[in-house]
Amino acid sequence: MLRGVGLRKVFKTGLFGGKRIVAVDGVSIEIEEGETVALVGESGSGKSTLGRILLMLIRPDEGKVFFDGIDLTKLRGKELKRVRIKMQLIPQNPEEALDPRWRIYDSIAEPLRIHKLVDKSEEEDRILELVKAVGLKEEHLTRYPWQLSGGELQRAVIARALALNPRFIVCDEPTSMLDLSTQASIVRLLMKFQKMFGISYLFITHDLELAKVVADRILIMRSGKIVARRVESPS
Amino acid sequence: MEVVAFRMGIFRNTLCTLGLGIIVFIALMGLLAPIIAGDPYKTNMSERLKPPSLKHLFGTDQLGRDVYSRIVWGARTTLLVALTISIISMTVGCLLGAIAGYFGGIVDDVIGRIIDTFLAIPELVFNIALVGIFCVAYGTSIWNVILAVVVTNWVSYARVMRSIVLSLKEREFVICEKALGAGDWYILLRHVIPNALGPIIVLATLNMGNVIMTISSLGFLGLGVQPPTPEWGQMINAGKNYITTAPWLTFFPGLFIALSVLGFNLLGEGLQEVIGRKRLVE
Repeated sequence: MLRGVGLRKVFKTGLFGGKRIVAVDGVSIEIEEGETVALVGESGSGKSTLGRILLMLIRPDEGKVFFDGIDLTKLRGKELKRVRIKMQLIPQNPEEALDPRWRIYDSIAEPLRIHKLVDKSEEEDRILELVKAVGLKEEHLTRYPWQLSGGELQRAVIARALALNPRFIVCDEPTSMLDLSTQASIVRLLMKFQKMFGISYLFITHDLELAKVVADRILIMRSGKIVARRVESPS
Repeated sequence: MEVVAFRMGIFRNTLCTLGLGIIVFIALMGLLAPIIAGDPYKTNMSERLKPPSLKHLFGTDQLGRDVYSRIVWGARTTLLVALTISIISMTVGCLLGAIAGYFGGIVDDVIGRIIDTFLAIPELVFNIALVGIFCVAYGTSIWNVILAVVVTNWVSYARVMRSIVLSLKEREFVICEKALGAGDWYILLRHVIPNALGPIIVLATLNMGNVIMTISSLGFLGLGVQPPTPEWGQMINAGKNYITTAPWLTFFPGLFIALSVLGFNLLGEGLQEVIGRKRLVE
């Protein structure tokens, strides 16, 4: 379903771009329908950059990303916007993922409004449905992000990502900022939605044990390259 | 909720309350000028250069005009001109700064170099030159002063806005917006700029003090608001020849310039504390 071929990204920093950091160095990656691929690596290994390249949040210097056979690197503007409905991001820090000035309700409703997917009258029903599915209460909707706990925020972020019925989600260390008990419930929630909707995940983490639990396949990344691939037997 | 907490923060802060008090006082002066003051243009040659008394609270000037009335009406002039300048330069500066910071690349280079160029020229000297040019080109008008000050003043907004936006656009919620499929202009106007407004409000308040100083300086040099319209800087200029015989002509306008600048500076400093503390609480 999603395929990255020969991806490469170099960041230039320092005075006059003199210093070059190769974040992703010729990586190819393939993710099938309904599959979870874990991307494991230490910080700075380029795993987040790779995730963002697959979502076209960062344009690669070299290589191509195919989604259902369409080359995303060739798309611009409106065409890219249409593809974005099908792929979403759940970022690392839930406290940073929502606009601090917006109520939870508006944040979750935003993707629906941007893509004009539902009428005003249906919007509220859809949001209540989403909120129930992720285990938040109705009263959370009128609050601001700083009035919610980390776990609650991550649920709101998941609700927002699910609002568009995506087929592929990049989970960029979705549990690393949460405490242990919340971690488990968030992972369970993600797994539940995968079974329900057949979503594919790229699960970025630095925790190999967690990767073993959630993933069908594990890729290990170091200094921008994938150094090991292994298939997990279903447990 | 948020607004109420913010309001309470303002009034619990001494600097804020004091500054706001001074500003409200001067704003009320300007607002109520027709009620609380007499005619600032009425000359009376038999009562020239009279010292402060019950009849003329701040004395009279060389044409026998009531200094108190001129001060009160002058508040209106100063505040209106300063507010116009601030609003225009804030809009221009914030937009350009946000665009430079958000889009980066060549756009940032061009806007950045323009900002640097303007920063390199001493502000007041540039203002004086501009007013001169505008006067020759378009004749004397209050818009000369407004435009001349805006030309140098937008830069500080642009510079601050650019650096705020640079850090905001790396925040995860902005990156998430892109993943949701939001367009660049939508993100900039709905998410980035609203989140940058806190520091901008502080800057605008502190900047009002500077603007008032600039207007008064231009007025003092005879380049600002033209007589007979009452304006504090210009009143000092007119009174400077009588500084030994009638010091009230220069003292009172000077006092009110200082007071209003102080008011805005206090409020700005206080807001900075309140907004900074609010961040920590969150």
